[in-house]
Parts: sequence; structure tokens; C-alpha cells
Amino acid sequence: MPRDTLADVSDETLLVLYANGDREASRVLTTRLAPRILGFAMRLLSDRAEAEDVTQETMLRLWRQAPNWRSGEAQVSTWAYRVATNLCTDLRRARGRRPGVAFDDAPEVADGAQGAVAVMIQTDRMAALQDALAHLPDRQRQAVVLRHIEGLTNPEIGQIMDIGVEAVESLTARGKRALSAILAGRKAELGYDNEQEVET
Amino acid sequence: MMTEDTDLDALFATASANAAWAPAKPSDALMARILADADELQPTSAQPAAGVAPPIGWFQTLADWFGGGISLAGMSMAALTGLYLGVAQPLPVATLTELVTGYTALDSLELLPSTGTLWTQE
Repeated sequence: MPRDTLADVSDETLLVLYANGDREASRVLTTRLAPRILGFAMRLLSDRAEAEDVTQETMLRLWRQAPNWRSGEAQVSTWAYRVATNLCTDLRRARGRRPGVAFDDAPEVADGAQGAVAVMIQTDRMAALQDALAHLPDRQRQAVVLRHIEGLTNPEIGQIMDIGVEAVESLTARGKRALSAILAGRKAELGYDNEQEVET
Repeated sequence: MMTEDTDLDALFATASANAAWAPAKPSDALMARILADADELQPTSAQPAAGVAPPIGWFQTLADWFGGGISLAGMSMAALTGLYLGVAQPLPVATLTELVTGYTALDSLELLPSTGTLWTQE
């Protein structure tokens, strides 16, 4: 089926088309999912090479699952996030370390119409956020990233992390408090003091 | 605490916007690896069940002995026709037999008692 025709097709339908032999469906689904999974894994691992491995393995498991996909049980993206989350957890446990974020690994900032200085400030802030996220316990970091950066709902996060909604709320609340504490000493460095001075 | 909730929420908003508008770009090599996996694992519609051979019945085995189903059907028809000619002895066959052998009538051999005898014995 031509790619243009598949642009508005749901992820689940694309997966069914793939299972039925449509090669273009796998390309469209990869274009949709791989960037999201890669970005998510980079935030959890702070390591691009590892995040790429997680992304490839997640997609590989999706292809294997395609013939046995049960329609309506879960969204494809939620399923992929769940697999990626577990892979990241396993990877961090296997390595037995907390990642130190390298600047080059920090997620990119969309420049849009911003000036160069504004872009630099935003880049520094994103790097600081990434660094702070890397210091959170695994479960808190996963919940915070899924809720506040990936923009998923608490029930979706509960499905991904295999916990209840209340547990999700608790994890995200504790994660936010921990992030605030970690970032406490960097307010001036990240330009928040200057902004308040300008505002006042 | 350094960041008020509003500062942290602003950081999240920026990160979320970047994730949506400028998501991480998979390298060409990664995309190629993912798509190679997809092609390798893609089921084909005409894929037969692996390792399962269809069962062979006794009729198929018998037909194979005689060169296939058509040969077996022909041989069966010939056998039934011969049985009919032997039992019924139609007039054209009796005439032909008389011309060839010189006998006026084909002798018949009674291998079993007549059915009439069987009925009257009960």
C-alpha cells in the first residue's frame, strides 16, 4: 500500500497490515515509533548507543508480536513504551551504574524562531534537566518522563509500569520534589534569577 | 528549593515540546537495522505451516500403487463391466461366444445354490 495512503492509518492497523505482508506498513510504523522510543530511552539512559539498542530491540519484539497482536487490548505505542521501559531497567541493572549525562547526549532543542542566545539557554536547561533526571531512582525517573515529557496519562503510565494510578501519582510527586532539590543550586546558572529580575 | 514548581513545569513544558516537535532523530543506520529486522520477521501470506505434512489416506496409497486415481478408476470400471458380462451373459456376448468357440450355449457353473433354494429352506 502506498505510504501516503497509510499516513492516517492507526498504529494498530499498520501492525495488522505488516502481519499480512505489507512492507510499507512497517516503514510508516517505524517512522512513527522509533523517534519516540529513541527519545524516551535517551532520557532514561543518557546514552545514545544504548538507547539505539533499546529502540531496535523494542521494534524487533513488536515485529515478532505482530502476528499474535490482540486487537483492542493495548495501544501499540503504550506496548512499545512498556517494552522499552523494561529494557532500560534491565540495561541499567546489568551495567550497575548511574549514568552521567554527556552534553552531546542531551536531547536536542528545537530552534524554531528563537535567537541563538535563547537556544543556548534552553539547551543548557535541557541538559540540566537531563542531568537531574539521571539522578532519580529508576521508577521515579520513568514515571516523571512518561508523565511530564512524553505526556502520557496516569492510567497509560500505570499500564506501562504495571502499577496502579495512585502509585503513579506518588512516583511522579516524589520525582518532582527530588528534581527540585537537585536543581536547587543551579537556578542562577540556568538563568532563572535573571528572568525574575527582568520580570520585576 | 531552587526551582519553584512553575520553573520545573516550564522545564517540563520545554522538554515535552522538544520531544513532540524535535524528537530524537534515529540515525540512518538504526532505521536500516530496524527495517531489516522487519523484513526478516515479516510473515508471508502463503507461508505454509512449518514441518506439518498432510496425512496420506489408504485410498491415496492404493491409487499410488496403480499409477494414480484415474488409472484406479479405469481398472475398477473394467472389473465391474467384466463381472456384469459374466453374470448377465447378454445375447450379443452369447452369440459371439458361439461363433468363436462353436458351443451353442455357454455352460454355466453354479458355485452357489440358487437364491430361491436359500429362501425355501427357511
